[in-house]
Amino acid sequence: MSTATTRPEQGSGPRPWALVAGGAAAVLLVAFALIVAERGLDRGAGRELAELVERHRLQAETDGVFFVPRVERAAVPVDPLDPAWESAPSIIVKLSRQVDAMPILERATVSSAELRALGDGEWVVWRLSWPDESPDMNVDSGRFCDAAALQFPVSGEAPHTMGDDRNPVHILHWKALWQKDVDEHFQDVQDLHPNYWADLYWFADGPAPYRVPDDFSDPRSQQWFAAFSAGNPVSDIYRTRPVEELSATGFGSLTSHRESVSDGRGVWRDGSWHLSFVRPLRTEDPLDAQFWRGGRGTVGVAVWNGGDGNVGARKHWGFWTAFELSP
Amino acid sequence: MPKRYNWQLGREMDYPFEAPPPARQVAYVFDTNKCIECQTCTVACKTCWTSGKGQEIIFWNNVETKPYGGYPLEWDTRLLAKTGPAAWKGTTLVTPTVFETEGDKQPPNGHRPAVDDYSSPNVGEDDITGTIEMGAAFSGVHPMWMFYLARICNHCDHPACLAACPRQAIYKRDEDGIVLIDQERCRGYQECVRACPYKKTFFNVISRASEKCIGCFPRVEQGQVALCVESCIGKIRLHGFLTTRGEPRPDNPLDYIVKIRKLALPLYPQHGTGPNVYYIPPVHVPNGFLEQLFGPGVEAAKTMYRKLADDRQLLGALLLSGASQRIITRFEVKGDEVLGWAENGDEVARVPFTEPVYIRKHYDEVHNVYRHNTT
Ligand code: SF4
Ligand code: SF4
Ligand code: SF4
Repeated sequence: MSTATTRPEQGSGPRPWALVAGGAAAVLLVAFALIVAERGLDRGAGRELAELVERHRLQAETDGVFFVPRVERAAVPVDPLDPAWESAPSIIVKLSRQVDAMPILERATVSSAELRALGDGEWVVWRLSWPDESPDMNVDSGRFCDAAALQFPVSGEAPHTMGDDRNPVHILHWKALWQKDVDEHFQDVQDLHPNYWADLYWFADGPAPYRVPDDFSDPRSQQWFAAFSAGNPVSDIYRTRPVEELSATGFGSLTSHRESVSDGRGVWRDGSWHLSFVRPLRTEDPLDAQFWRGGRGTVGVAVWNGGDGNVGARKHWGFWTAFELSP
Repeated sequence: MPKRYNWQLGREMDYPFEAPPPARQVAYVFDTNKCIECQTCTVACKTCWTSGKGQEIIFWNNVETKPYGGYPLEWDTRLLAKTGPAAWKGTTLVTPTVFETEGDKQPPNGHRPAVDDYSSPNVGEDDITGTIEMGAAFSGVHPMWMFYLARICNHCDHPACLAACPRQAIYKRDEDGIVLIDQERCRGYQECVRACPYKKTFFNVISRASEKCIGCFPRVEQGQVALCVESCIGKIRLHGFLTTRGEPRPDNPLDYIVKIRKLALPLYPQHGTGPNVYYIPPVHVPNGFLEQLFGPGVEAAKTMYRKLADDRQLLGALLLSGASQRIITRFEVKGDEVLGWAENGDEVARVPFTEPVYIRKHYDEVHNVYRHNTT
């Protein structure tokens, strides 16, 4: 299977080195210092790396490619509200209604999202923010939660419409509901309807009204959790991460990965969602998009406003955004 | 959009997918004249299939009182408010189905119930159409009416739930036409909930996925009738298969009642899904109301029903309702009995046209007690 970020060209010719002032460059300089310190590189090697990075950055800028700087691991903020994000480079991704496949999104409520990213050479963290007046964090009949996704082509030619038969995409999907599951507890019936009461759930063991999953550890009590028993990943009552990894080869083909190394966190603050998506550059999973230091790739963004009935294909999305990871 | 012939509408209609009909189609006859709204069917289904957490307000089988009852609330009238009333030219539908107004970028015409709409499954119970004058009940027939409508998934020929699912997580089984939601694939988008005109798919908040009546498929696979059919106190239900590839067979009770005699009619056929629960219309209810519910065959069905006593073949087929736990695929009227056979040739029902009557003495000498007629 081919790769999402193109490998960096080996031995590309030297380019003029220039010091550029500004937030991003400042981050980079700190980063180089940290990398040099971390790796115990001598001054000469450190300077060479700094030159290489800056060359890439300038070329990316010239090409209109979003450049993802490299900092020391400890400086990579996993918390989406970490102030360090303010000095990370950002790009505004324009979003539009999904109108290619049934069912289309009838009304747009989000026009753009802000994307930032930082890496440490082994991991990359994406920070996505978009305005949403009210957080929608739970689901019920006719009620949907806020969500967002990043997609990466597993091969270079994948269309932004979730790939196609020959060009799969790799998706990182965050849902506010899953965030609530992880932050608080599995969102149960009583979290939606505090006064719901049933005298009996077969084989459940514990005090009424019986909490999922704790009081349903007897496998017989799980017989009525049909989707969970069938292994449906959206029905996981033991969820530990708010981010799911999926593959797609076009509309309607979304399939969860059994193995997932991605994580993340979403926080709603002052009228906006702020999310982090954390994932390693390289994995062993052939379904995953792979990244290289100094490699280029593309990322697609999708956002759902649960309060306006956004779910599934009823979503906002953007075209590919080209990016380059720092060498 | 591909075209499909819908025999209930007497015409072709748009449907997003092409597919041959199943080898045979699971189908049911419900006699509304006999239902007593005891809800035994509801409890049978619920106890077995939907007694888990997250299913508190989910009833795959429900029985509601028409005209005012409905679970979920106003499930049918809200759709009718969007589609307008059905119009027929003879037996051909002239108004559009739910598949013919929204284009190919939107799911079939539908509406989303709110969560509260599920919380009063018995709303309108026993309510009649209007108030009656004091004492009118004692002075003969009064014009007010109501009737009980027992409802399950219709395992439709052209399911709207299936057409609406962007993940193709809903499928219609080739062997018997039962419509199922793949519990592993569903991601809880609730498009099926919005699209099913009968509101017979449900969102489960613990699964975070949608679910629906499974037609008791594990029982059907063993030749047994559904639980809601077997448990029916009023014996209003007959469970079987319609012939789909070939002419209807007069010795198949479902073919005979539904296709050949047209005594039992589909519910809201105008929506175009080809529903497979067939109702014998309540004979005391005005046709104006019933024709919106069951289409143009109402008066003919009522007339046939009123003459059932002289129609032994039809009455014989109906007597098989509640007569066996096994699905009857062939029947025959012989003398004063009707016989029913299961798929494998076993005789599984033998029902007399006239039940024997035993009159016992007022005084029981063995037990030294008097018998009282308490009914
Ligand atoms: S069990 Fe039969 S009679 Fe009783 S409510 Fe259900 S359908 Fe009606
Ligand atoms: S009744 Fe509704 S849920 Fe059942 S098959 Fe028809 S459209 Fe689908
Ligand atoms: S057929 Fe089975 S699953 Fe469907 S309503 Fe009847 S009892 Fe419930």
